[in-house]
Amino acid sequence: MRHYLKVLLILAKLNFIHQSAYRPSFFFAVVGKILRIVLFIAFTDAIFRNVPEVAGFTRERIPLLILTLMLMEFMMGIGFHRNLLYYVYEWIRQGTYDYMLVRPLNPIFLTSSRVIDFFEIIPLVATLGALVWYIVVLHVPFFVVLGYIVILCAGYFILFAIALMLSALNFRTLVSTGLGRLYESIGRLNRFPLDVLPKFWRVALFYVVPIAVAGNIPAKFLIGTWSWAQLLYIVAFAVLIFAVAVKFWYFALKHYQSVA
Amino acid sequence: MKKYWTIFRIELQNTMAYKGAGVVWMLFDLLWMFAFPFIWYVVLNAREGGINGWDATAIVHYYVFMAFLNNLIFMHPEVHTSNEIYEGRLTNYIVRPVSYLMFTFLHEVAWKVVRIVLFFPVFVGIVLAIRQFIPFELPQLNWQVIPASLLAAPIFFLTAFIIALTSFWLEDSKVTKNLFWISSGLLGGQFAPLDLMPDFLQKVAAYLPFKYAMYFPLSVLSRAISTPEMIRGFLGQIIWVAVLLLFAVFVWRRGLRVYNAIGR
Repeated sequence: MRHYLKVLLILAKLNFIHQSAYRPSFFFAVVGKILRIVLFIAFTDAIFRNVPEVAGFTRERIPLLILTLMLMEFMMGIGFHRNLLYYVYEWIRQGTYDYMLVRPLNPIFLTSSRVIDFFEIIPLVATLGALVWYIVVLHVPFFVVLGYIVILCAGYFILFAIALMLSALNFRTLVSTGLGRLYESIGRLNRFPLDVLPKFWRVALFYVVPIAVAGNIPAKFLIGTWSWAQLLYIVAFAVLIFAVAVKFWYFALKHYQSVA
Repeated sequence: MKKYWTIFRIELQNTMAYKGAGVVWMLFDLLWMFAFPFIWYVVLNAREGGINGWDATAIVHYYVFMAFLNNLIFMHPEVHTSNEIYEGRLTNYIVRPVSYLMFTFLHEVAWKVVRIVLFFPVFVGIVLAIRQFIPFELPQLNWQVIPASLLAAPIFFLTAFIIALTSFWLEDSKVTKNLFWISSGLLGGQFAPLDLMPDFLQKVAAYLPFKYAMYFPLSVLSRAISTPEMIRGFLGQIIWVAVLLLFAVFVWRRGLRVYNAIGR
């Protein structure tokens, strides 16, 4: 474990050096984050100026959904997101993936944490702060907050597992970065209450491939429209899909031919 | 012209080899249709009589036509071009007697040609699926939609091309591309018609090209807009095409001065 932490620290240091080499990028990244917040505010304002409530979310409750989505996105952004959905494709295409496989480390660990995005750390801390403050202001009971944290963790594993399986497709056939963008955009459907969708989509997004864990499910738990039994379902689903994803990834890796 | 025809044919063959990627990008561009009409339908239904001239039918038309624009009109040279600059592959083109702007345009057009084949069956299926949940009639096509869409294409293409050229200075233009995607969606009306957005955003959008690339053609199709509004819209589109073309050539020339093929 200590060995892996040390590797993670070294990777973080390397990435910090790399990202500080592109200083204008840092500036644009900050502008981008601000624009996304403006987008959220404008979008919710446009909706709640006209209706008091959409699928259980009111103007007062909607920040819980948006902040949860942002928290999840930043956590994924720092860790596995770009590594699995963008860079694996590039590493395999350029023939540099072999260098990672020969290292004496778990290949899933190295593949999913090779690039650590520092642009996401500051907004992550800010989002976390805002979320804690908002939860305190709304007087959300302690046990509900505990359940919320459990759903967030389970959700992170579910999203990781889906990304891992998608990245494994690259071992059979190179899948361009379009898949990463598609995955991102499906996740961002969480920027509004998904309960407004027809039943077929709701079942798909909440239970079959529960992408709603990236925002809707944890936020629904906080406002009391997602039960403890449903929480257990999400935890069980997370365990199952994570195990399947790891198996699938190693199975796909056997087909890796190292042909760049 | 013959050389450009040859380039187009080669690019078309190249694109045909990546049909899977074409399908993925098509789904990406169709995603809006799965969600946004439903939320706005709920909001507009709650407000009988609609908001600022938008009713439930108009909003569905808006998003259905947006899927059409996203798939067949809007081109994304920012991804391909910025990578070529960053990795130094641009050198392969600038030593040849072809216009790189034209080459990029043909590359993108080839993708769109393949997309047409993939798009229509899926599009029809989704429209029929939406009609199961939201009753709406297909809009009456007025002729102004065609020039509005055709003028939208160069506005979007040239804006994206200029964004890609920032790679000459920034090298890694990941964040500028992100910035472009967010701002074009926000200020172009992808998330909601601009009339429904807060006033300050409408004011900012009036000074940027995205409104003329996206919101104007979508409005022409979706709802009745007045003749002065229509004339202002077309004038805005023509002015933006001219300004962006001149600016793209200017940035390209400036960029070439600092280009050092560092990735090669």
